[in-house]
Amino acid sequence: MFNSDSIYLLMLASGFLGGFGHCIGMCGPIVGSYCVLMEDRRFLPHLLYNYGRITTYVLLGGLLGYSGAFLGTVQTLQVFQKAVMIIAGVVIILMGLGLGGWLPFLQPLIGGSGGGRFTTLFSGWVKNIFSGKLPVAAFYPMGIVLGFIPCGLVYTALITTARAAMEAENELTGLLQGGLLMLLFGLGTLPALLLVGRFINIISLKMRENLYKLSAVFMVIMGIIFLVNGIKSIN
Amino acid sequence: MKGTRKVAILVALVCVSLSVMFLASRFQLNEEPAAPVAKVQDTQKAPAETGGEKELTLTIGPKPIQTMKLLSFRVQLTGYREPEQLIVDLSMPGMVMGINRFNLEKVDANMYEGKSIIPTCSTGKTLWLAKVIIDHEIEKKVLFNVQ
Repeated sequence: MFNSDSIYLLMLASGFLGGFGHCIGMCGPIVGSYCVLMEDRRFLPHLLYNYGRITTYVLLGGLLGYSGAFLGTVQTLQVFQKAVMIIAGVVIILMGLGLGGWLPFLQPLIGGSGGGRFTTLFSGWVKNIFSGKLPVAAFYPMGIVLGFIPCGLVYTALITTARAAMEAENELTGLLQGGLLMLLFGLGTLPALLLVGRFINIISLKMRENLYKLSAVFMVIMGIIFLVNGIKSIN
Repeated sequence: MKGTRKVAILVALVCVSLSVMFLASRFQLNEEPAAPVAKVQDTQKAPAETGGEKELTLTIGPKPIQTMKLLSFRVQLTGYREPEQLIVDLSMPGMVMGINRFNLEKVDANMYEGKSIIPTCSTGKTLWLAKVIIDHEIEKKVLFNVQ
């Protein structure tokens, strides 16, 4: 369908156009939500989140390029993707409720200066999340995990990747080509999501406290949609 | 304080806009394409366009048409000169879903076939548009639903 040179450009362009035409509408709410939880308002958390997301795309592209089998690979992945969607839904709901102060039983844990009952690393992270603060280092793994959320645009990119990989000389070439194609696709989506994140950051710089309730409601709604879609996809 | 209020209104507007975009895509408020197209009925087989002696028929199978399954796209041309390149381009009306286009190979007299996969849309939308492109000159459109 496409020659070997144009397909790389095509993937970059597809990501770029899809970023503005698809990702802003679908992933924009996720970006809007995590912006509220950001402890660090600089550019770095946005980059880390998006690099995490792109890391997942590259892994999936490499996997598809190696196997050359879209359906077999995706069917295996879908179990994991559904689980990610459900878990993400639950976590986003809890984050929203925690952010809005609507989880009374969490207040003794997240309030105050001591937090003595939470001493382990895991509970420290939980405390951070439910108190509306995410350390910078959390954004990269968060991007990796949320990169697995089922997305039609990503599926289409993976279909193109698998089609190109079927023509690869060998499995290693397929792996590298698949990874590169999805890297270009992911980089193409970067400008749109960085712009949305930065825009929300800038205008909300002085408004964090006032934004809490609104963002909390929004996060709960989004979490419910994720959860319902995740459960529906199982049936 | 006034400045703070203005910023609050701006932030609220952005959040509301994002919410509307998100929810609009969920509830399929924008799925009718602008161009008139022929709809594939329940049989999933119907003439896309008819002009004089010319007829183009797109058949998608197996039925029912399902997402994330390997699908066969067969095009039968009647009255057309033999094309050098026949392409099917799949898209979703009202939603950018990336570029999903592929070549069809001749399998019989006037019959061409290609295979592809239609991705699942997490919004739950099921309406897709197939454009059959003959030699980059003639473009016929067919709407169809997937399960």
